[in-house]
Amino acid sequence: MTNYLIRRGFQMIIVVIVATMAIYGLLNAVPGGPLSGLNLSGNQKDRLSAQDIARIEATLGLNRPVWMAYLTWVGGEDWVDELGNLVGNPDLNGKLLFTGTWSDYQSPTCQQAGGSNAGADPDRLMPCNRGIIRWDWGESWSLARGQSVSNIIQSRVGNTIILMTIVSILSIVIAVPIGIISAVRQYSALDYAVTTFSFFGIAMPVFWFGLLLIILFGVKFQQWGFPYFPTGDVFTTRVTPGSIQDILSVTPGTVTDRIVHLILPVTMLSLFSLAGWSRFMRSSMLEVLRQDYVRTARAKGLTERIVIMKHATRNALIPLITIVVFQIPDIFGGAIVTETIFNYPGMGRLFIDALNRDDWPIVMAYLFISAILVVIATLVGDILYTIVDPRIRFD
Amino acid sequence: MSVAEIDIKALEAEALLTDKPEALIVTYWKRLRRHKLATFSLIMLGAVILLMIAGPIIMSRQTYYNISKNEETLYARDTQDLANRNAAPSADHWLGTDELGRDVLFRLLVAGRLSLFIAFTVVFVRETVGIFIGALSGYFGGWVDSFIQRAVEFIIILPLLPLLLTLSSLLRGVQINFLPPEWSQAVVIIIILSLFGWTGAARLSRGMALSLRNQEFTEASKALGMSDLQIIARHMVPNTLPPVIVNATLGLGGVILLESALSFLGFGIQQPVATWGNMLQDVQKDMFTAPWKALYPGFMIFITSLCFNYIGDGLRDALDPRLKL
Amino acid sequence: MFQNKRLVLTALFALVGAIILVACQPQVVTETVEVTRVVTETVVEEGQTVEVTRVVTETEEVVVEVTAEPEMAPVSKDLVVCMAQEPATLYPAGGSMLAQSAVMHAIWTDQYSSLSYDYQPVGIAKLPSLADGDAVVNEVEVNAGDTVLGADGEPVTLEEGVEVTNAAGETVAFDGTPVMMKQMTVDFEIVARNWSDGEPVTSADYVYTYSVYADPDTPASKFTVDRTAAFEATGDLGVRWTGIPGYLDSTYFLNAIPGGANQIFPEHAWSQYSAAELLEAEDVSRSPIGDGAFVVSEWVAGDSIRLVRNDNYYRASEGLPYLSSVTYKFIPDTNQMVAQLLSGQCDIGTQDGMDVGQSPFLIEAQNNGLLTPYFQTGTVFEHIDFGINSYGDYGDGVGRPDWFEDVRVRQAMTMCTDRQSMVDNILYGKSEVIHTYIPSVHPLYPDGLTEWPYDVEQANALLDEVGYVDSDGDGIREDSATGAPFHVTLGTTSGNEMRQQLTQIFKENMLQCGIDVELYYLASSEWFADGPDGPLFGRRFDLGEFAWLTGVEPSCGLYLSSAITGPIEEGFGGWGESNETGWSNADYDAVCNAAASSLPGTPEYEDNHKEAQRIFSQEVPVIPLFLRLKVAAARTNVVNFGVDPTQNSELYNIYELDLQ
Repeated sequence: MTNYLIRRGFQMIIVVIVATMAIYGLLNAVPGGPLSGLNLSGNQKDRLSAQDIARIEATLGLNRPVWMAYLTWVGGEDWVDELGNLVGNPDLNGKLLFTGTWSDYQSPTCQQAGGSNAGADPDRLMPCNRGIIRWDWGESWSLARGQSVSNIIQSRVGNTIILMTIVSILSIVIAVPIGIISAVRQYSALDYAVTTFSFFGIAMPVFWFGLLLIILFGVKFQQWGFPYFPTGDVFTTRVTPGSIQDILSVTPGTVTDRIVHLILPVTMLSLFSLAGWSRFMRSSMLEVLRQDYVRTARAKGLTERIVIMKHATRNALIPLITIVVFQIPDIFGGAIVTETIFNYPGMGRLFIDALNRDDWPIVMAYLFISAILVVIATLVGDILYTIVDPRIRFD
Repeated sequence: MSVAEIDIKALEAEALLTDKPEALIVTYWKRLRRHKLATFSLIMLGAVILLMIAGPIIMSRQTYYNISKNEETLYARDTQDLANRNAAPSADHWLGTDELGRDVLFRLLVAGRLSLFIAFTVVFVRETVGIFIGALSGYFGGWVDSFIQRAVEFIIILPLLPLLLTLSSLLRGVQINFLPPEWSQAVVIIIILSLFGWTGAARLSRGMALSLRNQEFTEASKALGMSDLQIIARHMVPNTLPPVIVNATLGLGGVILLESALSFLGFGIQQPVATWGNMLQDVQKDMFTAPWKALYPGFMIFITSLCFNYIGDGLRDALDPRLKL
Repeated sequence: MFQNKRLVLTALFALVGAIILVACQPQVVTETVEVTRVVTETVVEEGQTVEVTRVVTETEEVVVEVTAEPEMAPVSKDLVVCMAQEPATLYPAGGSMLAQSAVMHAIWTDQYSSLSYDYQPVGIAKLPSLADGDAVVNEVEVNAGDTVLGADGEPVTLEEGVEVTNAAGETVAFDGTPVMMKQMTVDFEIVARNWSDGEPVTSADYVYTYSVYADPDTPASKFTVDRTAAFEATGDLGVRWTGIPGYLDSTYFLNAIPGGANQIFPEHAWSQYSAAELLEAEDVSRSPIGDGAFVVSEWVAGDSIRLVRNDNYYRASEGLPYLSSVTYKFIPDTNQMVAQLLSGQCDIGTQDGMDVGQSPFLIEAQNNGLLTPYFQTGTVFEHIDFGINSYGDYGDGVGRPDWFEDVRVRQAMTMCTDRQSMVDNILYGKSEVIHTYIPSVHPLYPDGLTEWPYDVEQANALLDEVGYVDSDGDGIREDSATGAPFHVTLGTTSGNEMRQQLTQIFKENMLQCGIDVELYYLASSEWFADGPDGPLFGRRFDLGEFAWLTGVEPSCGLYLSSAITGPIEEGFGGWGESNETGWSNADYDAVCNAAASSLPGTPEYEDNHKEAQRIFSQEVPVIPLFLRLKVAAARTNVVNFGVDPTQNSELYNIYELDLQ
């Protein structure tokens, strides 16, 4: 087992490295990029000249060749000027416009600090980027100019983890029994009801359900005079009369406030996950119930309850593991559409905003963490297989 | 032997021989037909597809009164009637008109052709590819398994949006000569979505294969001299079908919606070509005034997904290797 | 069967109830208080005993007594403004997002407002003008080595052979003898006010701001900076801008911060940072010191920015600002924003978050007395550009027939476009069709403009005249020389409902004239990418639809021959330029350049701008479609709120907004 884990660990590292390299290359290959659309002003005086754009490129690090940009993302930029002097400062991209040496490949603050972080004021941002190896994820380019990426992610990740963990737990807890019951009572009224409900959930887009919930429980309830739910956000900015926060006298910023705001998004997301997972559970339960050992157990005279609980369920869980284990990356990654509709500032929205506004430091950080979680999820899934089904062995 | 003597032995022999082993397909078909719900769904799906194909052909020979043009015009997908936008259902327009005055029913039916083509093909291709790769991975284990699983992880990690933006710019001009332009775009989408969508089925299939390969019947098959590939095809794959079928039926609606999100971003099927997905996208701004508009394409997706689901149920029963006819 | 679910729900409610009970317990409130005391100590130092008096600050925990609130407490007016995006930074030189402008109006006092196609002074006492004498044009002698404006419009160091325009208006080549050239000097008087930390605003702050914008590390356009000879203080509350000889700035009255925006920087707080550090420093980009009505109190990342009243505001004696606090919330989803407006969570929904597609619902809400919608056209207009001269081997008879070279084709296509129906159907009739690059209410709108009507017959007649006839009866015209069908592509950005609809209407319109248009939509960063990669600015397109962000001045310079995109080595203006149509017209160039080098208020300025538009409307290098609509909404209790056509952000007067 230890051998296996070591080998897996090694493979995981390789996958993450190769994936981040591919992602970095991909971002560079996408047509457009952070510099497009800067010059849409009709006013002559606001238009940026080629020199101005070259300066912006240098600040963002886009004047570097792709491989150098990737290496500085990983290892920092304070060694770039020394390396340049070593190899004679060849002009790789035609962008050494200011000093002609590889210090032009460093960001302006780093150049001004002489190409290294020595003697820098520790209370301020370090002039030279130190790379993810030294836990410097860079600064955001366009979402929050100058703010460190780790701060940005930290401010959002808590919200997403809370939302997605609650949704995952709730969905599993409800999906498994429903799936089991649907299988045991195949083609009963309950089964048809659950099936219809599941497929209706898949047929309609997420935004439609979300907005219906918002309109019904937020807007319409208010019009009809019922205590109405908040339509979005994490906390209350302003307590309006007649709302649930008002009636329960909830102080903005407290746990109760959070819970009240979570009710609608959690309900919606759980229903969606529920729909899918209960069907998987049902399907694998049906398979298991046909097995010979189930017939044997029944023949032995065991009660139906024990047959299902002790013997069938455990074997039926295997396909569900595959799916549920991939909630681990989702717990961090969030649900983009839900977060947008409910104005919930989480990681999913952060990622899509960063992609749209070409904020590569945030995109790379997000995908890197996501990559690690995906490989961990796969490992956890494989280990769970061996636990749930003793017949499975990895060699 | 004279004619009067009846050769019992020969008759018996003949009787045995007439019980020819029928083709596997026929067995499966017979089993499927016994599943009443599946049969009904099959008929229903067939009717829907027939409607998609024949409906627009029939309608395009009918006319309606186009207010802005002040004349009778044939029903068509693109013909606008800006004086009659967002109209309620009427005799001329059974499902009303959309925000440019086009007939919703006609668009719904025409959209069905593309949406169903894309959805069924993508689901079929990616589930099939996924099953085989996953079965290979789970059955062989060792470095084959490791390699394939690492590849699967790599594909899952890659972000879809930048990938599509890059691919779309590369494949923008691709035209398949004998197809109308939107169908070649559809083929491009099918290839892209299948290429990156098989990972789900692969993982499910691998999971099942892992638990099956150590069972006795696998050993027995090997002892009987079956090759690995035969074992995979005859034993692994049919047993991995149940979760994969569920994946497929759930995925059908998902593919339609994914395709619409893509076209909203400029990739793939562009306006004015209609798909159920982009008809749904258009509803987003009307949520406060007319949220029921989403139900037209939504209901079509619902019906097809549901029928596909019950056919899947029937298929699973039909293909179950443990059942004896 | 449902027991599991019910059990879970009951457990949840019990949990919620328990938490509420806990949260509602009365608590003892303690406060950490800083106590400053003067302490006298005896210290032994270098063998001598010295008495030292020190001021010591200690912290203590004090139990706060909750006293009854006084009867007549002032009503707290808290406004909540909902925007679609979160500003990336609040540092004025760090970005130009509309969301950022909205917040900056609260933190700073602008130098100018640009209401109703004109400028008004706010932070400066008056707009300098030539008539009043605070702007003068002098004649100065220039020698070799001076920086002057060359005859081509670019700043240049004077040396042998350089061509300049002298004071008499003639173009001369410098040959060593001193030349007399015109130089402009403008004086500005600053309104006396304070920073939010109490320090007074002085001219030193203005000079400091200019020095930051002039720094190469600040990512702003250096156009005005390069043409500034000097910017210096003339006393505590006065500054003077001097342009380089030869440069007559048509917006000289806006040079209170040359090369900059509308906000001044506090020298006493920010001079410790270099220009590059200013872009990233936390207190500069997250909670800057300003001279406006409000101060940043808290910025919850991803959620909201809260500002409170500035007690040092220079108009506090007038009771301004009326509001006690403003909270800017970020709500990217339009439907969610409307829901929050309806429920009272938002008081104002700004234009970047509201969509023109919401108009029917907004009008209905107005009729029910819930909201007040604001529909305002500005100067930004949508247009379809012809790819008249493409780059390289894309068109012009090489890749495809040179469809748009003949002006009659362009005129015919303009007449075939039903622009009024686009306005009626997409913008609900709340905008207007446009015929040039400025709206009809603009002071420089000319008469004698060619306004092409929607006339399909005439359009078809023109196209027949050009020679593109439909010979095979399929309804699409062909090029007689090559037989190629008149099939062109129209591209624009994806994800934009308004553009999707207008391009589809355009496609249908073109069918009536026998032209087949194929639509394609690209992600905006791909569509607007600079050449040679980008399709639009790389001049590899047939038809392209988008909008320029125009302002008060007519932007005739967008269509100059010198602005054609392309490599400079091949004689074009560079890939960062604006004229992607490739249209080149010598008459237009002449009048537009003359207008750019003349001063507003002179007949030269007006006449040339008007003539340029007449030529433009006759030659139609682009089909001007309609003015874009700004849609905003506010709850009915918001007072003094309005959307102005030329003022970018509708929160420009946040200091006088009020809640009833």
